Amino acid sequence: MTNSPRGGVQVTNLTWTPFASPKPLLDGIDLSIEPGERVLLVGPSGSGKSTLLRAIAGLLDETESGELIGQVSASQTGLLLQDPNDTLVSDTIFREVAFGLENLGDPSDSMPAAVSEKLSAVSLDKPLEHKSRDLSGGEMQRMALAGVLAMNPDVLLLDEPTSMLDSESAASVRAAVMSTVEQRNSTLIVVEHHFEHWLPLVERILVLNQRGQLIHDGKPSEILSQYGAQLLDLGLWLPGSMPPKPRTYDLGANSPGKLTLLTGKSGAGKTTELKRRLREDPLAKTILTGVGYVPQQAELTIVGNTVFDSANLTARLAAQGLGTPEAEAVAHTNRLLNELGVLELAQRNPYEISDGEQRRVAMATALAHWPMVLYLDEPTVGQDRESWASIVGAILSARNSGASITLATHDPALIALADEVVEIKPEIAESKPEDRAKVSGLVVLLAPILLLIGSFAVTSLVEGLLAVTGLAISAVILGLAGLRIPSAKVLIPGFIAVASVGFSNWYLSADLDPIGGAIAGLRLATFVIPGILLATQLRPIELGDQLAQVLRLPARPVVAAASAMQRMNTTISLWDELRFIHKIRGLGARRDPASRIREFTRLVFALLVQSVRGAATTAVSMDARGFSRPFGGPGGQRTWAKAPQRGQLDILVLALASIVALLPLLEL
Amino acid sequence: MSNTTKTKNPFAWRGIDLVTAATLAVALGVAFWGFDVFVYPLVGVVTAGFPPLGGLATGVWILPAVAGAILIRRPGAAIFVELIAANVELSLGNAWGVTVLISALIQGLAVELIFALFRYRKFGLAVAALAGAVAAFFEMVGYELHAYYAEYSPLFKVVLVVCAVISGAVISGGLGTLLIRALAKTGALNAFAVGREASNK
Repeated sequence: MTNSPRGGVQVTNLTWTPFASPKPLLDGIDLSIEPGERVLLVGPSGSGKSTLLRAIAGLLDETESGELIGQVSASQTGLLLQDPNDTLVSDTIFREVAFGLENLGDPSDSMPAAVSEKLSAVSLDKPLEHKSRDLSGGEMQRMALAGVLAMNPDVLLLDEPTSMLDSESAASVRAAVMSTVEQRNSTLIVVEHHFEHWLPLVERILVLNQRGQLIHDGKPSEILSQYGAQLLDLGLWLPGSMPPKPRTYDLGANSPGKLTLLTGKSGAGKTTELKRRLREDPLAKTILTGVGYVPQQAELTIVGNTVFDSANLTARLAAQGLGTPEAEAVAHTNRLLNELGVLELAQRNPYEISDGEQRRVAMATALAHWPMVLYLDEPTVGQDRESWASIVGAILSARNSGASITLATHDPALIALADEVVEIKPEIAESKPEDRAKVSGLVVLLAPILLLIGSFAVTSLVEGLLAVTGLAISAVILGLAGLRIPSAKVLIPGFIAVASVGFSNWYLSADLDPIGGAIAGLRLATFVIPGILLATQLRPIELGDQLAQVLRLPARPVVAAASAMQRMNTTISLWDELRFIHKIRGLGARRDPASRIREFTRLVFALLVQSVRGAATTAVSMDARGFSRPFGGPGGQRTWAKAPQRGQLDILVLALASIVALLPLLEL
Repeated sequence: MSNTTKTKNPFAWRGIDLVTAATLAVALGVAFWGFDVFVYPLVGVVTAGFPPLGGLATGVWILPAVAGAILIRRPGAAIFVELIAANVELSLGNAWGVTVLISALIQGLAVELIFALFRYRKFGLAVAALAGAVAAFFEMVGYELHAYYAEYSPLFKVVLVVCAVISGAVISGGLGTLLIRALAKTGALNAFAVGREASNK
């Protein structure tokens, strides 16, 4: 079979202005890409590269509404995003890769073979039931690529697919991309900051400028040789160009500090090691610390309504603590913002500025209170040359003023500047398959409802005691049958609720009847305690399968809900990370109620901003895999890679719940 | 792609509506769990002496329904967000077990009812407060008074319901509205009507 070129893209006079933006993000783009062409798309931060990819994928107004002029036409596209963590929708490799097939409505029994084929195309040699969260960065990105390829796209769109990866993992992703592109002869469009390694693989390069205009379009060798100087000015990382000279400055105190680099493959645990060192740093354990920290997501350090307030807050608290004039802190913060080139943003909302700007503000934030020790996680990832020079300049300036700095990175340009380089070796983490729930989701929900209905028949102390005894016997039977709960502690809130309801139903009843209170408590116990125990068995993806396939609830809300629930642990880690960052910034809650409520409010707000932003990216990745197109199964139905699972103990749990629910009806 | 892509049915859920609503619910569920660590012990001290005051916390649990409705502005948002938030609470361990889902359903339906009465066109503070108050009322009168507080004297039942209704209006309606508006100011909600309104100001 000859493999004629697939794909092709036509963009005609495309101008896109989001409502929130004063100027167009894409301005008058005209572009024609032939089937089978391989194209590299470059430009400085904020030039609209990702936006153009989304426009070609037909997902432009997905995350932002705005005014769109012009036309885009492209055949079947597939879009791979930068961070594979944002694209996770399920629990296992199989379900992640099969997501698009489910939306296409492919028959379920064809999916294991189709998924295995795509996994071998990207050279990911892992069992189908492997937990997707236990993969390394490079593996996860190849899994995400397999998920995109499963849709058999004619045009493959890659949005910085290797920027989070070390060179070896990046090479593995590029190899997987090129082998599938060559095999299918499909069209390829790649966006990448450090694009050196893509150059030999593409035949055409497109350059966007800061205003979202397409300024160059041609053969890579010609464009690079003709316009090299201009491209360097735009801040692009041209192959073979020296890293820019870091912009250092004098921070006063002149004593030699130390710059320690943690390097290693993606997923080796650089971030974990950095955080371990930070948490064990004696300075980080005091409330107002001498520690500065910039996490990988610089946005997490934001507190307050303006860039200046956010950057200055810790310095202000430190000044208050030491009794030094706050004006000094203000002057120092302004100086840092200026050196980092973000002073003109001082009065803007810190959440509104770009990623690169946020990273520079976070650097100023970390330095503003004169910390002795700095911890920085991938501070240069995704930065243009200009921004790189100012961030590295800030790091070196801090070192020259005596700070000791620990920095996790896979940026080779930093290694030359380090005093010490620590290579982090990956620990081989065993992936344990998620233990299958012994009770299925629907039974977890149904059994307590049976008990609730039964509880209304509890009207005497004897009936209450009978029901509770029945429950205790049931618990023993289920324990013998193999049901395990993670910890008995989960029951504590339930017992407190039972006690408080019992007490208040006595204390606040019309006749102050202690028996009435006891009955109320026992009645509550009959459905609340088993409900808490059973809830420990809930598995979101399994529950979703049942709600959609057994109860026939609408597919899209169920999928969205189950995948968001599946990310709950990520949300909890985010909460912990935010709490820790706030503590380092001197905002940790003290004992008084006002400070606790204030800190709680700040944390909730930061958590929501991050979650909602992540949701937008996830939605793009889901829609790129057909989540919002009409489903392609029989009758417009979505299909499911897995049939609903039954739990071993389902029947037993339902039988016991029914018996206990009926116990109060016994006439004794 | 046409000049300006418009959804034909303004009430049809886009992908981002579903994912954002579900994610908001999960984040709020996690926040509730954080609430237990930071704030709830304080509430416990206040209400130990007079349990009906505990009704003043009711609005906290209804907030996701109201916030979801005013963010998504589509039928079903309140129920969807409230049910997921309750599910998260359930998975993280809570005092009431699976029956929180019953509360969530009642609260979600009640909030939905109020926004439906205004034909999903009004999402201001007053309507949000009304929705929160009505949901708190139904939660108490339709469920909790029977399941949890059956033996209370009539007087204390009334006190409990009044506390809950105030809380529903102030916490779920008022704070819920403030929260979504503050989020809109960060630019994180630019795909939503509420985000557009914030950026036009």
